[in-house]
Amino acid sequence: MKKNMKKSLTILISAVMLLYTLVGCGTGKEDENKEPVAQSGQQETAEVPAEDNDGASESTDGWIPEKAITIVVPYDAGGNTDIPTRIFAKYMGEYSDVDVNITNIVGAGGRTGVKEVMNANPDGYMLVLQSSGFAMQSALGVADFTYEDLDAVGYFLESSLALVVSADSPYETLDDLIQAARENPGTLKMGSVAGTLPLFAAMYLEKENDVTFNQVDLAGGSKAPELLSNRIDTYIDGFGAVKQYIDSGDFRCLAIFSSTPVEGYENIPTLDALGYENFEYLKQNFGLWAPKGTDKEAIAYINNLIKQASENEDCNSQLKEISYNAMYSTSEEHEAILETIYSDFSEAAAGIVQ
Amino acid sequence: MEFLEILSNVLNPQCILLIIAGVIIGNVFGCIPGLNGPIAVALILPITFTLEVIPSMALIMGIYMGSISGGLVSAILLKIPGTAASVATTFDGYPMAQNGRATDALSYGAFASFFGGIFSAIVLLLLAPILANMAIGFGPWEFFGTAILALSLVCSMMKGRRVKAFIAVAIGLLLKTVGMSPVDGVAVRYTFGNYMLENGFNLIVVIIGVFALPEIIYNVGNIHAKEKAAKVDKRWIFIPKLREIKENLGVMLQSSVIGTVIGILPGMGGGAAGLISYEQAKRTSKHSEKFGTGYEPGIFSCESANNATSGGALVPMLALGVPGDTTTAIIMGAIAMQGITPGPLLSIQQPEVFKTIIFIVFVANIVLFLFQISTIRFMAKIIKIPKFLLFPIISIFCVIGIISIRNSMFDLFSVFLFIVIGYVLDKNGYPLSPFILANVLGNILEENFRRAIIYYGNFGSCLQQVSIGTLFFAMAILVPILMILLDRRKKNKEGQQKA
Repeated sequence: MKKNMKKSLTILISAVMLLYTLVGCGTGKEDENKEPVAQSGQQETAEVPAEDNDGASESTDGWIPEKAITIVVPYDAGGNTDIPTRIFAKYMGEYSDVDVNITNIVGAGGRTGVKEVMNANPDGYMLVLQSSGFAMQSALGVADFTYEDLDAVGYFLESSLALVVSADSPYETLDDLIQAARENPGTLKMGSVAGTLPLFAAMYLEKENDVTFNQVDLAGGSKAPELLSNRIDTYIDGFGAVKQYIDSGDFRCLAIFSSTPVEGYENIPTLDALGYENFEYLKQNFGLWAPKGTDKEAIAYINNLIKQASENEDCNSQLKEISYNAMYSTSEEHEAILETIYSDFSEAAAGIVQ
Repeated sequence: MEFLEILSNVLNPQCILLIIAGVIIGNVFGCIPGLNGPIAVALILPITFTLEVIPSMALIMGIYMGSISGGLVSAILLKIPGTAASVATTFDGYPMAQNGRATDALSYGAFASFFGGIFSAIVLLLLAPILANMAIGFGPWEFFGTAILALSLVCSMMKGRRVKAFIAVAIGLLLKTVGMSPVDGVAVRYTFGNYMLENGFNLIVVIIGVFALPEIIYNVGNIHAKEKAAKVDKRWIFIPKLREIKENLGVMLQSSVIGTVIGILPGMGGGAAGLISYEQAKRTSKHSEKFGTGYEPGIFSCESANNATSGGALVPMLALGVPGDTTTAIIMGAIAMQGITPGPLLSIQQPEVFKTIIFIVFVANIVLFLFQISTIRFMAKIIKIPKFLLFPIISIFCVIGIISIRNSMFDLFSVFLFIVIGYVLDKNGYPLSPFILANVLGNILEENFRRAIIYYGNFGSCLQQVSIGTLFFAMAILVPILMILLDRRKKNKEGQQKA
């Protein structure tokens, strides 16, 4: 009797443990968050009927998705890129019969995620976020693929870089800062992270004004404390990342890398207003890439989802809160802009690669 | 009035249920080797978007608190740390469980977790803005000093094996250099052209390779060994006796302070806190020889320290918008999705949100404690499962855990390398905890050293800085030398007495 009980207990507990395993896998499936990419073609699909799908059915006769579309974000979940993409994907899903899911495949500066998608089935269900980071990495010889190895789908997000100094800094304008850098070459501490857009922005300022900063390499995410404690003099980052410190009065923003001012911050000068030119490649824009050879009609369908989501008011206001703007471009425009960005970056990188 | 509002925000059925769900999910993820808090929070992230601010925080904070503490169950019962944070719990927890006191060990761990969690939550509530400003004062040189002191202290305490401990640290640091360099981000080291190595070896892979799988292999060798019958009391709730709590109050307080401080410093995390506070408790104890044999303060120290990091890590996140560890980085994303920006403005513009989040941390710690003490009865039975059933299941978990890091088979193969390293080190008397700590702190050490050089020009001028970093660096060099000299003197004295 006792022996039997022991036996059944053992089996029960092992069963529970195994169940845990299944639950573990199940959660993964549900959220599509850590799914093996190559297999996602065979996965069961969560077909959730959309509340508002008038728009979707009108414009696409050729290609209609039968299962959830996955956008691979090659950066960390909850990061500065992940959040706006998730918001946008939610609204894209509202205009489609299927869900638009986000999967994070992280590693090697985002290249792991792009490579997974490059090797995925070009059936229109796998997309990857395109950031200007890849053009930079290609220019620096780190990435072994270019925009020509993937199909452009369209831009959907834009934001600008901003240059900030501490609120008690002696530099009131960008000119003050440049002047100081000219008088003491290589001493003004500019926080940056290797291989990122802000680094190219700093190099752009150096080149345009013929000055040199002391480029202090900071690991991602720790720029703000360095400036709050005045260990560095200035840094450049996405406007969304520095906005809260500007609002709190800790930082002063000297310039925005854009030709149009940020809504609500019209008093901050743009680079355009300061007389700078040819800085368009320094915009922090995000688009979508599909594997090479994806059905043109599938791309058109997804591009149409971007268009509709970018016109959605709720989507726009939610993105504005975190200092991003929804944008829209056709896939052809996207491809053309990428071409110029890639050449701009390789030109800019020529300075550091030699 | 405000307090009542916060109470009603949190103490409603929806929130309480979400906290309970979060704690259970977190506990399961923490308990299974390879799965951990960041994975659990990342998986749950999309669900939180559909919730309001406070319910979503309830769920996420529940997971966060649960995941840190969950590791103690597998650490105590199986000698397999569920996360880096509970590595030191295996040192005394496992021997205690082997001596037939599994339920006691689990109840000590649960209580210590509760103590550390509540302690750091109080610190968070009272001192967040002040502490955050102190954390800002910590520059690269200070971080470097702290990390090197931590490594040096842990090695110095390995009595009789100090040199081997330092060698283990060196091996750990060397392995950590594989991959992209943390500072310039372009230099790629020891990858031999394999892009899977560009991110280096993941800590989860190292821990599973060094601790979990060798333990399984060892046990498979003894699969027919007669097991000691572990006593499992048929109680429903397990709480340590008042006397035991009193005796360990000092250890818990000391470890909670260490844990909170380490938590505040971005990047250090629970793994370092557990190991450092364990060695510290050992050093300050009158019975340091009992550590490692199933001695209660060993469990109390590590478990209170690793849970105290949770409150600490929330300090810079809530007060500055700078996450204290991987999990808080994802939590910050979840809060941002709700349209709230953690940072200097949060406690000024939305004090109710700030305080509600802290209150949720309190409630989550209480729920976690109740959950743990009431499930000890069932958890302890895990060791009664026949080994031929148990170990295959654990191996499956290990594999799932490794795969779930980034869906890479390469990680699974690289685990074999760490099994070999762990086995060779262990068999030759090289302690493993310095090796793990070197893996935990390696990047911080290198990154901050190089940044310090960029700031101050060269190493010489770093040393001339009047800062806590210089003090720590000096201590890191002097402490081991002093310890060795003191031991020699003791030995000489003993020798003279004998003669």
